[in-house]
Amino acid sequence: MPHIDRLLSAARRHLGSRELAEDLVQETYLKAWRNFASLDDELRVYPWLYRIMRRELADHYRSLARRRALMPIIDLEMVAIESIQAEDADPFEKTLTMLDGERLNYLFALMPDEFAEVLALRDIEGFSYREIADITSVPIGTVMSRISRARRLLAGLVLQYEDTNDRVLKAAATTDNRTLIGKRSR
Amino acid sequence: MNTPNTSFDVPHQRLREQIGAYVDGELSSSEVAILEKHLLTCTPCQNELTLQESIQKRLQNHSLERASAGLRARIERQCEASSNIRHVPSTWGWKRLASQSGAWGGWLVAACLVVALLLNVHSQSISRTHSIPMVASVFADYQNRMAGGELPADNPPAWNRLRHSVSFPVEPIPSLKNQLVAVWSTKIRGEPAAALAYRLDNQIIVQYVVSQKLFFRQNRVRQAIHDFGRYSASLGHDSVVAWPGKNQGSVLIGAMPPDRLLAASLSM
Repeated sequence: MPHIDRLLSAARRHLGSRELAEDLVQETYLKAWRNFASLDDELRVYPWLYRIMRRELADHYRSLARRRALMPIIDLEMVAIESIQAEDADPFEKTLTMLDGERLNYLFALMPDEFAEVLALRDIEGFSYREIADITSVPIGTVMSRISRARRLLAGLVLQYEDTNDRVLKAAATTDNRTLIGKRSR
Repeated sequence: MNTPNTSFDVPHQRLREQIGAYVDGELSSSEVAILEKHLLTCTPCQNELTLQESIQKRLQNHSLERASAGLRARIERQCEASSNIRHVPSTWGWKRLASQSGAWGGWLVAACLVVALLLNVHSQSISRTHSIPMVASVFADYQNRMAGGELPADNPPAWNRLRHSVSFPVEPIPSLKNQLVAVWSTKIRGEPAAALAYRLDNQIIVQYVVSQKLFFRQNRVRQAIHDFGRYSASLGHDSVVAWPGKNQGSVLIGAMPPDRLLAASLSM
């Protein structure tokens, strides 16, 4: 079955849940099977499957899909810009390298759909800007600007996540120390 | 930190927005030249370049989810259940799409299985066959040629012209190569196609080679290929057999029983 892992990964990024993603992929393949005649270029099977999945997502999963349009996008972009200007690139790269797949998926799921989708299509799926414009039906200029902003957004989320994580760890460590000190002093 | 260089014609902000596309290799050479010049002196843009490259690099290494065997089996079952014609369980239809090279390699295995199915081939009726646009178009071209009673003379220039007239490879059926009597270019469903006529059992049979796109656009042909490896049908006194090739598809037509044509086609 062609491209099933890629489709499942894309579905997971859209929906978060593995179960919902599997249902979506199953529906996608069934639709593809029934509408095989609509495949007009066999070298471009994945974009065709992805488009079917997108339609399925819009038709059946609209209510479940994330809408995160109210997110403070500009604030997050600024977090990324300011943080990277303030320090060397190395710590940021290290943070990124240490970020595992699960966490990355989690952060992806926090991004607004229109940004998350183009970024995934470009950096994870490897589509050209022209192909992304075709798949998402947005002008190529918009694709270009969304990809650029989406990377800044993700960087902002990574930094914010790490910052929160640090504070939680520090707070946990402090609590542990206090508990320990309390126990010792008893 | 250097302040953004504002002496260029293109403003700093606009150049910064191009850095993502620069990292992706999506800028023209003139845009690249302007941006690289700007990057030499603009620290904020250098930072932006680092950010864009870092995120890109991390995401390119993002691992894929793996579909479980259960999910694959579930999809296979559902697709098979949705097919309403007699079915031999097979995943070949999907495998064909998996990758061009890999899938066509798998065809060799499928071709061997076809031999076992030879006597059990799925043959369709005239009315159903005529409703397949590609087969109807092949049949019309074949009938016109046969009614005219003349075939073009086979000579090297015609063969060369034929190969240049289509965008896919055209090769004769190996076992019938010595019985090739004529070749010509034609149109099937309005698309360029090659026709190769052979003499077999004192009959003229014609192999039409069409684009893979046109070939697989025919639902019933596609289903038969998935189920049996080949499509076969009777057209009154004539029969037709179709099979996929590398980047193209062939339809063999002649005034003989389908199993005779099928046997002739099996050397492909």
